[in-house]
Amino acid sequence: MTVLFRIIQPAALTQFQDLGRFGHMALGFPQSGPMDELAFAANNRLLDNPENAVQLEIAPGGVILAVLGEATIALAGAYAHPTLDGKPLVNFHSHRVRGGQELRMGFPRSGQYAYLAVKGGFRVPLFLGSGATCARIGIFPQRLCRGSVLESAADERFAREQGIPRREIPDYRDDTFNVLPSYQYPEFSEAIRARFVAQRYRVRMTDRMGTLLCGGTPLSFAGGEPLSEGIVPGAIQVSNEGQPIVLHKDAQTVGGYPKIGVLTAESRSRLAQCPSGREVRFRFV
Amino acid sequence: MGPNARLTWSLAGADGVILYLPLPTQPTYPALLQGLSRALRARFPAIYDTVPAYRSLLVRYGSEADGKALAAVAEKWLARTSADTLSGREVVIPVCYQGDDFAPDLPRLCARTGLSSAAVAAMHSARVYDVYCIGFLPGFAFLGYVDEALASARHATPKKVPAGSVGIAGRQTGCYPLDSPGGWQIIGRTPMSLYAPQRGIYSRLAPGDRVRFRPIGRDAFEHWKER
Repeated sequence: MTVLFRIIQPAALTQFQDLGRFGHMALGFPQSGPMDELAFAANNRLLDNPENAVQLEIAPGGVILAVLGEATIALAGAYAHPTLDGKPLVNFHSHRVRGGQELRMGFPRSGQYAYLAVKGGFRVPLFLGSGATCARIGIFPQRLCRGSVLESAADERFAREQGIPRREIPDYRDDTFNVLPSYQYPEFSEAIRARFVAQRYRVRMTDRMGTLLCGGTPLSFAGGEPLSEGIVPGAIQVSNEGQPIVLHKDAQTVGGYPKIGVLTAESRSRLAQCPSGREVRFRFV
Repeated sequence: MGPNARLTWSLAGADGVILYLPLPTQPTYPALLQGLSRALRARFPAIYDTVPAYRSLLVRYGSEADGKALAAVAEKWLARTSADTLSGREVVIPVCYQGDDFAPDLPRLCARTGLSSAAVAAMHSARVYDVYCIGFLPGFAFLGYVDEALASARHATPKKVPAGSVGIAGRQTGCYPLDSPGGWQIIGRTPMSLYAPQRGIYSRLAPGDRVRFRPIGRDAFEHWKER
Protein backbone atom coordinates (compact mmCIF):
# COMPACT_ATOMS: atom_id res chain seq x y z
CA MET A 1 0.00 0.00 0.00
CA THR A 2 1.26 3.44 -0.90
CA VAL A 3 -0.08 6.87 -0.06
CA LEU A 4 -0.31 8.63 -3.41
CA PHE A 5 -2.39 11.81 -3.46
CA ARG A 6 -4.08 14.33 -1.23
CA ILE A 7 -7.05 16.21 -2.66
CA ILE A 8 -6.43 19.95 -2.72
CA GLN A 9 -9.55 20.74 -4.71
CA PRO A 10 -12.37 18.18 -5.02
CA ALA A 11 -15.10 18.09 -7.70
CA ALA A 12 -18.72 17.15 -7.21
CA LEU A 13 -19.05 14.15 -9.50
CA THR A 14 -15.54 12.79 -9.11
CA GLN A 15 -15.65 9.27 -7.73
CA PHE A 16 -14.00 5.86 -7.59
CA GLN A 17 -15.09 3.20 -10.06
CA ASP A 18 -14.09 -0.34 -10.90
CA LEU A 19 -15.89 -2.43 -13.54
CA GLY A 20 -18.95 -2.54 -11.28
CA ARG A 21 -20.98 -4.59 -8.82
CA PHE A 22 -22.15 -7.85 -10.33
CA GLY A 23 -24.62 -10.42 -9.08
CA HIS A 24 -26.80 -8.09 -7.00
CA MET A 25 -29.22 -6.65 -9.54
CA ALA A 26 -32.01 -8.93 -8.29
CA LEU A 27 -31.87 -7.08 -4.96
CA GLY A 28 -32.07 -3.70 -6.70
CA PHE A 29 -28.39 -2.73 -6.82
CA PRO A 30 -27.36 -1.09 -10.09
CA GLN A 31 -24.11 -2.38 -11.52
CA SER A 32 -22.39 1.05 -11.61
CA GLY A 33 -18.85 1.07 -13.01
CA PRO A 34 -17.16 3.45 -15.47
CA MET A 35 -19.38 5.59 -17.71
CA ASP A 36 -16.72 5.24 -20.41
CA GLU A 37 -15.57 1.61 -20.38
CA LEU A 38 -13.27 2.21 -23.35
CA ALA A 39 -11.19 4.83 -21.58
CA PHE A 40 -11.24 2.83 -18.35
CA ALA A 41 -9.93 -0.29 -20.11
CA ALA A 42 -7.27 1.68 -21.99
CA ASN A 43 -5.98 3.17 -18.73
CA ASN A 44 -5.60 -0.17 -16.97
CA ARG A 45 -3.92 -1.61 -20.08
CA LEU A 46 -1.44 1.26 -20.11
CA LEU A 47 -0.33 0.27 -16.61
CA ASP A 48 -0.59 -3.52 -17.02
CA ASN A 49 -3.20 -3.42 -14.27
CA PRO A 50 -5.89 -6.04 -13.71
CA GLU A 51 -8.87 -4.95 -15.84
CA ASN A 52 -10.91 -4.37 -12.67
CA ALA A 53 -8.35 -2.09 -10.95
CA VAL A 54 -10.08 0.89 -9.28
CA GLN A 55 -9.70 4.28 -11.00
CA LEU A 56 -10.84 7.81 -10.35
CA GLU A 57 -13.64 8.94 -12.68
CA ILE A 58 -13.29 12.70 -12.95
CA ALA A 59 -16.29 14.91 -13.71
CA PRO A 60 -17.08 17.67 -14.31
CA GLY A 61 -13.39 18.59 -13.85
CA GLY A 62 -11.41 21.10 -11.85
CA VAL A 63 -9.66 18.61 -9.57
CA ILE A 64 -6.28 19.41 -7.98
CA LEU A 65 -4.21 16.67 -6.36
CA ALA A 66 -1.00 16.95 -4.37
CA VAL A 67 1.30 14.06 -5.26
CA LEU A 68 2.63 12.43 -2.05
CA GLY A 69 4.76 9.61 -3.42
CA GLU A 70 6.40 8.12 -6.48
CA ALA A 71 3.98 6.47 -8.86
CA THR A 72 3.04 5.78 -12.44
CA ILE A 73 -0.36 7.12 -13.44
CA ALA A 74 -2.37 6.93 -16.64
CA LEU A 75 -4.92 9.32 -18.12
CA ALA A 76 -7.73 8.55 -20.56
CA GLY A 77 -11.24 9.57 -21.57
CA ALA A 78 -12.32 13.17 -22.03
CA TYR A 79 -9.31 15.48 -22.44
CA ALA A 80 -9.48 17.61 -19.29
CA HIS A 81 -6.28 19.62 -19.91
CA PRO A 82 -4.26 17.69 -17.32
CA THR A 83 -1.05 19.28 -16.09
CA LEU A 84 1.77 18.20 -13.80
CA ASP A 85 3.39 21.21 -12.14
CA GLY A 86 1.86 23.30 -14.91
CA LYS A 87 3.22 21.16 -17.77
CA PRO A 88 0.57 19.61 -20.04
CA LEU A 89 0.23 15.82 -19.95
CA VAL A 90 -0.70 13.67 -22.92
CA ASN A 91 -4.07 11.91 -22.73
CA PHE A 92 -4.32 8.13 -23.28
CA HIS A 93 -0.80 7.92 -21.91
CA SER A 94 1.00 6.86 -18.72
CA HIS A 95 3.23 9.27 -16.78
CA ARG A 96 5.61 9.14 -13.84
CA VAL A 97 4.90 11.42 -10.91
CA ARG A 98 6.91 12.25 -7.76
CA GLY A 99 6.11 13.48 -4.27
CA GLY A 100 5.79 17.28 -4.12
CA GLN A 101 4.32 17.65 -7.58
CA GLU A 102 0.82 18.93 -8.32
CA LEU A 103 -1.56 17.21 -10.72
CA ARG A 104 -4.38 19.34 -12.08
CA MET A 105 -7.37 18.29 -14.14
CA GLY A 106 -9.26 21.08 -15.87
CA PHE A 107 -12.66 20.99 -17.52
CA PRO A 108 -12.97 19.03 -20.76
CA ARG A 109 -13.99 21.12 -23.78
CA SER A 110 -15.68 18.10 -25.29
CA GLY A 111 -16.54 14.93 -23.43
CA GLN A 112 -17.67 14.44 -19.87
CA TYR A 113 -15.58 11.88 -18.02
CA ALA A 114 -11.80 11.74 -17.59
CA TYR A 115 -10.06 8.78 -15.94
CA LEU A 116 -7.04 8.74 -13.65
CA ALA A 117 -5.48 5.33 -13.03
CA VAL A 118 -2.51 4.42 -10.88
CA LYS A 119 -0.21 1.43 -11.14
CA GLY A 120 -1.83 -1.33 -9.05
CA GLY A 121 -5.15 0.53 -8.84
CA PHE A 122 -6.52 2.70 -6.03
CA ARG A 123 -7.12 0.99 -2.72
CA VAL A 124 -10.67 1.45 -1.42
CA PRO A 125 -12.95 -0.55 0.89
CA LEU A 126 -15.24 -2.76 -1.18
CA PHE A 127 -19.03 -2.72 -1.05
CA LEU A 128 -20.68 -5.96 -2.20
CA GLY A 129 -17.32 -6.97 -3.63
CA SER A 130 -16.83 -3.82 -5.68
CA GLY A 131 -15.07 -0.49 -5.45
CA ALA A 132 -17.72 1.22 -7.60
CA THR A 133 -19.48 4.34 -6.33
CA CYS A 134 -23.24 4.86 -6.69
CA ALA A 135 -23.94 8.27 -5.19
CA ARG A 136 -27.67 8.02 -5.95
CA ILE A 137 -28.10 5.29 -3.33
CA GLY A 138 -25.30 6.38 -1.01
CA ILE A 139 -22.62 3.86 -1.98
CA PHE A 140 -19.23 5.52 -1.53
CA PRO A 141 -16.23 3.22 -1.16
CA GLN A 142 -14.42 6.37 -0.02
CA ARG A 143 -15.98 9.81 0.28
CA LEU A 144 -13.79 12.36 -1.45
CA CYS A 145 -13.37 15.86 -0.12
CA ARG A 146 -10.68 18.44 0.42
CA GLY A 147 -7.84 16.74 2.30
CA SER A 148 -8.83 13.16 1.42
CA VAL A 149 -5.83 10.90 1.00
CA LEU A 150 -5.86 8.43 -1.89
CA GLU A 151 -3.90 5.21 -1.67
CA SER A 152 -2.79 2.71 -4.25
CA ALA A 153 -3.42 -0.99 -3.72
CA ALA A 154 0.05 -2.23 -4.52
CA ASP A 155 3.55 -1.11 -3.71
CA GLU A 156 4.68 -1.08 -7.32
CA ARG A 157 7.82 0.17 -8.92
CA PHE A 158 7.61 2.60 -11.77
CA ALA A 159 5.94 1.23 -14.86
CA ARG A 160 6.95 2.28 -18.35
CA GLU A 161 5.68 5.59 -19.74
CA GLN A 162 3.74 4.71 -22.85
CA GLY A 163 0.84 5.70 -25.05
CA ILE A 164 -1.86 3.91 -26.96
CA PRO A 165 -1.79 3.57 -30.75
CA ARG A 166 -4.01 6.24 -32.29
CA ARG A 167 -6.29 3.68 -33.91
CA GLU A 168 -7.12 2.25 -30.46
CA ILE A 169 -8.24 5.60 -29.08
CA PRO A 170 -12.04 5.89 -29.21
CA ASP A 171 -13.32 8.36 -31.79
CA TYR A 172 -15.48 10.59 -29.63
CA ARG A 173 -16.46 12.76 -32.62
CA ASP A 174 -18.31 9.86 -34.25
CA ASP A 175 -21.99 10.80 -33.92
CA THR A 176 -23.46 7.42 -34.91
CA PHE A 177 -24.30 4.87 -32.23
CA ASN A 178 -24.89 1.15 -32.76
CA VAL A 179 -28.06 -0.46 -31.47
CA LEU A 180 -28.68 -4.17 -31.02
CA PRO A 181 -32.36 -5.01 -31.59
CA SER A 182 -33.51 -6.15 -28.13
CA TYR A 183 -36.43 -6.33 -25.72
CA GLN A 184 -39.63 -4.95 -27.37
CA TYR A 185 -37.92 -4.28 -30.74
CA PRO A 186 -40.22 -6.77 -32.53
CA GLU A 187 -43.29 -5.01 -31.12
CA PHE A 188 -42.35 -1.61 -32.55
CA SER A 189 -43.75 -1.22 -36.06
CA GLU A 190 -41.36 -1.23 -39.00
CA ALA A 191 -42.20 2.41 -39.70
CA ILE A 192 -41.31 3.42 -36.13
CA ARG A 193 -38.02 1.53 -36.21
CA ALA A 194 -37.18 3.22 -39.50
CA ARG A 195 -38.07 6.61 -38.06
CA PHE A 196 -35.87 5.97 -35.01
CA VAL A 197 -32.76 5.52 -37.15
CA ALA A 198 -33.67 8.15 -39.76
CA GLN A 199 -34.03 11.15 -37.49
CA ARG A 200 -31.39 12.99 -35.49
CA TYR A 201 -31.60 13.45 -31.75
CA ARG A 202 -30.17 16.06 -29.43
CA VAL A 203 -28.88 15.25 -25.91
CA ARG A 204 -31.26 17.08 -23.59
CA MET A 205 -29.75 15.92 -20.27
CA THR A 206 -27.21 13.34 -19.27
CA ASP A 207 -25.88 11.86 -16.04
CA ARG A 208 -24.78 8.50 -14.60
CA MET A 209 -28.37 7.22 -14.74
CA GLY A 210 -29.13 7.99 -18.33
CA THR A 211 -29.02 10.20 -21.42
CA LEU A 212 -32.31 11.92 -22.28
CA LEU A 213 -32.71 12.61 -25.97
CA CYS A 214 -35.18 14.66 -27.93
CA GLY A 215 -35.85 15.33 -31.56
CA GLY A 216 -38.02 14.65 -34.54
CA THR A 217 -41.39 13.00 -34.53
CA PRO A 218 -42.20 11.02 -31.37
CA LEU A 219 -41.94 7.23 -31.50
CA SER A 220 -45.16 5.43 -30.70
CA PHE A 221 -45.47 1.97 -29.21
CA ALA A 222 -48.52 -0.12 -29.96
CA GLY A 223 -47.63 -3.00 -27.64
CA GLY A 224 -49.46 -1.66 -24.59
CA GLU A 225 -47.80 -0.94 -21.26
CA PRO A 226 -45.12 -3.57 -20.56
CA LEU A 227 -44.75 -4.93 -17.02
CA SER A 228 -41.62 -3.71 -15.27
CA GLU A 229 -38.67 -5.91 -16.19
CA GLY A 230 -34.92 -6.11 -15.68
CA ILE A 231 -32.97 -3.52 -17.66
CA VAL A 232 -29.31 -3.37 -18.69
CA PRO A 233 -27.01 -0.38 -19.18
CA GLY A 234 -27.35 0.79 -22.78
CA ALA A 235 -31.06 -0.09 -23.00
CA ILE A 236 -33.00 2.50 -25.02
CA GLN A 237 -36.34 3.21 -23.40
CA VAL A 238 -39.03 5.09 -25.25
CA SER A 239 -40.77 7.50 -22.88
CA ASN A 240 -44.50 8.23 -22.82
CA GLU A 241 -43.67 11.29 -24.93
CA GLY A 242 -42.08 9.04 -27.54
CA GLN A 243 -38.51 10.21 -26.89
CA PRO A 244 -35.55 7.87 -26.33
CA ILE A 245 -33.80 7.57 -22.96
CA VAL A 246 -30.53 5.62 -22.95
CA LEU A 247 -29.76 4.03 -19.59
CA HIS A 248 -26.30 4.17 -18.08
CA LYS A 249 -24.44 2.50 -15.23
CA ASP A 250 -26.36 3.86 -12.22
CA ALA A 251 -29.82 3.38 -13.75
CA GLN A 252 -32.44 1.53 -11.76
CA THR A 253 -32.51 -2.21 -12.25
CA VAL A 254 -36.12 -2.55 -13.46
CA GLY A 255 -38.35 -0.35 -15.58
CA GLY A 256 -41.65 -0.40 -17.38
CA TYR A 257 -41.03 1.65 -20.53
CA PRO A 258 -40.82 -0.24 -23.83
CA LYS A 259 -37.26 -0.59 -25.12
CA ILE A 260 -36.44 -0.49 -28.82
CA GLY A 261 -32.92 -1.85 -28.42
CA VAL A 262 -29.67 -1.81 -26.46
CA LEU A 263 -26.53 0.11 -27.42
CA THR A 264 -23.34 -1.90 -27.82
CA ALA A 265 -20.97 -1.38 -24.88
CA GLU A 266 -18.69 0.60 -27.21
CA SER A 267 -21.49 2.93 -28.33
CA ARG A 268 -22.87 3.39 -24.80
CA SER A 269 -19.43 4.47 -23.63
CA ARG A 270 -19.12 7.02 -26.45
CA LEU A 271 -22.64 8.32 -25.80
CA ALA A 272 -21.81 8.73 -22.10
CA GLN A 273 -19.16 11.23 -23.19
CA CYS A 274 -21.70 13.36 -25.12
CA PRO A 275 -22.71 16.52 -23.25
CA SER A 276 -26.11 18.23 -23.48
CA GLY A 277 -26.69 19.75 -26.89
CA ARG A 278 -24.74 17.15 -28.89
CA GLU A 279 -26.53 15.76 -31.93
CA VAL A 280 -26.55 12.00 -32.37
CA ARG A 281 -28.07 9.34 -34.58
CA PHE A 282 -28.59 5.60 -34.26
CA ARG A 283 -28.28 2.60 -36.51
CA PHE A 284 -29.31 -1.00 -35.96
CA VAL A 285 -26.54 -3.58 -36.18
CA MET B 1 -45.74 -25.53 -14.94
CA GLY B 2 -46.47 -28.72 -16.78
CA PRO B 3 -45.54 -29.99 -20.23
CA ASN B 4 -47.06 -27.07 -22.15
CA ALA B 5 -44.78 -24.41 -20.70
CA ARG B 6 -44.37 -21.90 -23.53
CA LEU B 7 -41.62 -19.42 -23.14
CA THR B 8 -40.79 -16.48 -25.30
CA TRP B 9 -37.51 -14.62 -25.19
CA SER B 10 -35.78 -11.55 -26.52
CA LEU B 11 -32.18 -10.39 -26.53
CA ALA B 12 -31.17 -7.77 -23.97
CA GLY B 13 -27.99 -6.41 -25.52
CA ALA B 14 -24.96 -8.46 -26.55
CA ASP B 15 -24.69 -10.50 -23.38
CA GLY B 16 -28.26 -10.58 -22.11
CA VAL B 17 -31.43 -12.57 -22.72
CA ILE B 18 -34.84 -11.89 -21.24
CA LEU B 19 -37.21 -14.83 -20.86
CA TYR B 20 -40.97 -14.34 -20.59
CA LEU B 21 -43.54 -16.66 -19.00
CA PRO B 22 -46.96 -16.54 -20.68
CA LEU B 23 -49.41 -13.78 -19.77
CA PRO B 24 -51.35 -13.17 -17.61
CA THR B 25 -48.96 -13.08 -14.65
CA GLN B 26 -49.79 -15.79 -12.10
CA PRO B 27 -49.25 -15.72 -8.31
CA THR B 28 -46.94 -18.72 -8.82
CA TYR B 29 -44.56 -16.73 -11.05
CA PRO B 30 -42.32 -15.13 -8.40
CA ALA B 31 -41.39 -18.52 -6.92
CA LEU B 32 -41.08 -20.11 -10.37
CA LEU B 33 -38.79 -17.35 -11.66
CA GLN B 34 -36.63 -17.56 -8.55
CA GLY B 35 -36.32 -21.33 -8.97
CA LEU B 36 -35.63 -20.95 -12.68
CA SER B 37 -32.96 -18.36 -11.97
CA ARG B 38 -31.18 -20.78 -9.62
CA ALA B 39 -31.47 -23.67 -12.08
CA LEU B 40 -30.04 -21.63 -14.98
CA ARG B 41 -27.17 -20.30 -12.89
CA ALA B 42 -26.27 -23.88 -11.95
CA ARG B 43 -26.43 -25.00 -15.58
CA PHE B 44 -24.64 -21.98 -17.16
CA PRO B 45 -21.70 -20.83 -15.01
CA ALA B 46 -21.14 -17.82 -17.32
CA ILE B 47 -24.33 -16.19 -15.95
CA TYR B 48 -23.30 -13.34 -13.66
CA ASP B 49 -26.63 -11.70 -12.90
CA THR B 50 -30.35 -12.41 -13.10
CA VAL B 51 -33.36 -10.18 -12.50
CA PRO B 52 -36.76 -11.82 -12.01
CA ALA B 53 -39.72 -9.44 -12.31
CA TYR B 54 -43.46 -10.27 -12.63
CA ARG B 55 -43.33 -12.58 -15.67
CA SER B 56 -39.78 -12.09 -16.93
CA LEU B 57 -36.29 -13.21 -16.08
CA LEU B 58 -33.38 -11.12 -17.29
CA VAL B 59 -30.23 -13.24 -17.62
CA ARG B 60 -26.83 -11.66 -18.09
CA TYR B 61 -23.90 -13.69 -19.37
CA GLY B 62 -20.18 -13.14 -19.32
CA SER B 63 -20.11 -14.09 -22.99
CA GLU B 64 -22.31 -13.75 -26.03
CA ALA B 65 -25.85 -14.73 -25.15
CA ASP B 66 -27.49 -17.76 -26.74
CA GLY B 67 -31.20 -17.18 -26.21
CA LYS B 68 -32.27 -20.36 -27.95
CA ALA B 69 -30.16 -22.65 -25.76
CA LEU B 70 -31.21 -20.82 -22.63
CA ALA B 71 -34.91 -20.95 -23.51
CA ALA B 72 -34.68 -24.66 -24.30
CA VAL B 73 -33.16 -25.46 -20.89
CA ALA B 74 -35.66 -23.16 -19.18
CA GLU B 75 -38.61 -24.83 -20.89
CA LYS B 76 -37.43 -28.28 -19.84
CA TRP B 77 -37.01 -27.13 -16.25
CA LEU B 78 -40.43 -25.49 -16.20
CA ALA B 79 -42.09 -28.60 -17.65
CA ARG B 80 -40.92 -30.79 -14.79
CA THR B 81 -41.33 -28.25 -11.98
CA SER B 82 -44.44 -27.61 -9.97
CA ALA B 83 -44.68 -24.19 -8.31
CA ASP B 84 -46.03 -25.75 -5.09
CA THR B 85 -42.61 -27.18 -4.30
CA LEU B 86 -40.96 -23.77 -4.56
CA SER B 87 -42.63 -21.50 -2.02
CA GLY B 88 -40.16 -18.82 -0.90
CA ARG B 89 -39.38 -17.72 2.64
CA GLU B 90 -42.11 -16.07 4.63
CA VAL B 91 -41.06 -12.75 6.15
CA VAL B 92 -43.12 -10.91 8.78
CA ILE B 93 -42.81 -7.12 8.82
CA PRO B 94 -44.22 -5.18 11.81
CA VAL B 95 -46.05 -2.00 10.82
CA CYS B 96 -47.41 0.87 12.87
CA TYR B 97 -50.40 2.34 11.02
CA GLN B 98 -50.83 5.26 13.47
CA GLY B 99 -49.97 8.94 13.44
CA ASP B 100 -49.71 11.68 10.83
CA ASP B 101 -45.95 11.28 10.75
CA PHE B 102 -45.99 7.52 10.09
CA ALA B 103 -49.16 7.43 7.96
CA PRO B 104 -49.59 10.82 6.29
CA ASP B 105 -51.83 9.50 3.51
CA LEU B 106 -54.03 7.27 5.67
CA PRO B 107 -56.69 9.92 6.52
CA ARG B 108 -57.36 10.58 2.84
CA LEU B 109 -57.53 6.87 2.06
CA CYS B 110 -60.07 6.48 4.91
CA ALA B 111 -62.11 9.43 3.68
CA ARG B 112 -62.15 8.06 0.14
CA THR B 113 -63.07 4.49 1.08
CA GLY B 114 -65.24 5.13 4.15
CA LEU B 115 -63.06 2.69 6.09
CA SER B 116 -61.69 3.40 9.57
CA SER B 117 -57.90 3.47 9.90
CA ALA B 118 -58.12 0.29 11.96
CA ALA B 119 -60.06 -1.36 9.14
CA VAL B 120 -57.44 -0.31 6.58
CA ALA B 121 -54.69 -1.69 8.82
CA ALA B 122 -56.61 -4.94 9.28
CA MET B 123 -57.22 -5.28 5.54
CA HIS B 124 -53.64 -4.45 4.59
CA SER B 125 -52.21 -6.93 7.10
CA ALA B 126 -54.70 -9.72 6.42
CA ARG B 127 -53.07 -10.91 3.21
CA VAL B 128 -49.90 -12.77 2.40
CA TYR B 129 -48.14 -10.88 -0.41
CA ASP B 130 -45.77 -12.17 -3.05
CA VAL B 131 -42.53 -10.34 -3.91
CA TYR B 132 -42.96 -9.88 -7.67
CA CYS B 133 -39.86 -7.85 -8.18
CA ILE B 134 -37.17 -5.80 -6.42
CA GLY B 135 -36.09 -2.52 -7.90
CA PHE B 136 -36.27 1.27 -7.76
CA LEU B 137 -34.08 1.18 -4.61
CA PRO B 138 -31.95 -1.61 -3.11
CA GLY B 139 -34.33 -3.97 -1.33
CA PHE B 140 -37.50 -2.16 -2.46
CA ALA B 141 -39.94 -5.04 -2.97
CA PHE B 142 -42.99 -4.70 -5.19
CA LEU B 143 -45.63 -6.74 -3.35
CA GLY B 144 -48.91 -7.91 -4.82
CA TYR B 145 -51.71 -7.44 -4.46
CA VAL B 146 -53.73 -5.41 -1.94
CA ASP B 147 -57.51 -5.70 -1.62
CA GLU B 148 -59.26 -3.85 -4.46
CA ALA B 149 -60.75 -1.47 -1.87
CA LEU B 150 -57.27 -0.20 -0.91
CA ALA B 151 -56.06 0.42 -4.46
CA SER B 152 -54.69 3.99 -4.65
CA ALA B 153 -53.24 6.18 -7.36
CA ARG B 154 -49.72 7.50 -6.87
CA HIS B 155 -49.18 11.13 -5.87
CA ALA B 156 -48.92 13.32 -8.96
CA THR B 157 -45.51 14.55 -7.83
CA PRO B 158 -43.04 12.58 -5.67
CA LYS B 159 -42.61 13.60 -2.02
CA LYS B 160 -39.83 12.96 0.45
CA VAL B 161 -40.47 9.57 1.98
CA PRO B 162 -38.60 8.42 5.11
CA ALA B 163 -37.01 4.96 5.35
CA GLY B 164 -39.41 2.34 6.73
CA SER B 165 -42.50 3.94 5.18
CA VAL B 166 -45.12 1.46 3.96
CA GLY B 167 -47.06 2.55 0.91
CA ILE B 168 -49.61 1.60 -1.70
CA ALA B 169 -49.52 2.32 -5.45
CA GLY B 170 -52.28 0.85 -7.57
CA ARG B 171 -52.77 -2.58 -6.09
CA GLN B 172 -49.12 -2.94 -5.16
CA THR B 173 -47.69 -2.34 -1.74
CA GLY B 174 -44.14 -2.02 -0.44
CA CYS B 175 -41.72 -0.49 2.08
CA TYR B 176 -39.08 2.16 1.43
CA PRO B 177 -35.72 0.76 2.60
CA LEU B 178 -34.03 4.20 2.40
CA ASP B 179 -35.10 7.82 2.59
CA SER B 180 -36.10 8.64 -0.97
CA PRO B 181 -38.39 10.72 -3.11
CA GLY B 182 -41.45 8.63 -3.86
CA GLY B 183 -45.04 8.82 -5.06
CA TRP B 184 -46.66 6.00 -3.11
CA GLN B 185 -49.51 6.65 -0.63
CA ILE B 186 -47.94 6.15 2.79
CA ILE B 187 -50.13 4.34 5.32
CA GLY B 188 -47.68 3.20 7.98
CA ARG B 189 -44.10 2.68 9.03
CA THR B 190 -42.03 -0.32 10.05
CA PRO B 191 -39.35 -0.11 12.76
CA MET B 192 -37.46 -2.92 11.02
CA SER B 193 -34.24 -1.87 9.26
CA LEU B 194 -34.70 -2.83 5.66
CA TYR B 195 -31.33 -1.56 4.47
CA ALA B 196 -28.34 -1.34 6.79
CA PRO B 197 -25.26 -2.33 4.81
CA GLN B 198 -22.94 -1.49 7.73
CA ARG B 199 -24.67 -4.39 9.55
CA GLY B 200 -24.72 -6.62 6.49
CA ILE B 201 -28.40 -5.99 5.69
CA TYR B 202 -28.62 -5.33 1.95
CA SER B 203 -32.21 -6.46 1.47
CA ARG B 204 -34.70 -8.17 3.78
CA LEU B 205 -36.62 -9.55 0.84
CA ALA B 206 -35.83 -11.45 -2.34
CA PRO B 207 -38.07 -12.12 -5.34
CA GLY B 208 -40.25 -15.15 -4.60
CA ASP B 209 -40.48 -14.43 -0.84
CA ARG B 210 -43.87 -14.07 0.81
CA VAL B 211 -44.60 -11.17 3.14
CA ARG B 212 -47.04 -10.64 5.98
CA PHE B 213 -47.50 -7.31 7.77
CA ARG B 214 -48.15 -7.42 11.52
CA PRO B 215 -49.89 -4.32 12.94
CA ILE B 216 -48.17 -2.87 16.01
CA GLY B 217 -48.93 0.16 18.20
CA ARG B 218 -46.85 3.27 18.69
CA ASP B 219 -45.45 1.84 21.90
CA ALA B 220 -44.32 -1.38 20.30
CA PHE B 221 -42.77 0.66 17.47
CA GLU B 222 -40.71 2.75 19.90
CA HIS B 223 -39.59 -0.32 21.86
CA TRP B 224 -39.08 -2.59 18.88
CA LYS B 225 -35.75 -4.32 19.06
CA GLU B 226 -34.04 -5.87 16.10
CA ARG B 227 -32.93 -9.43 16.53
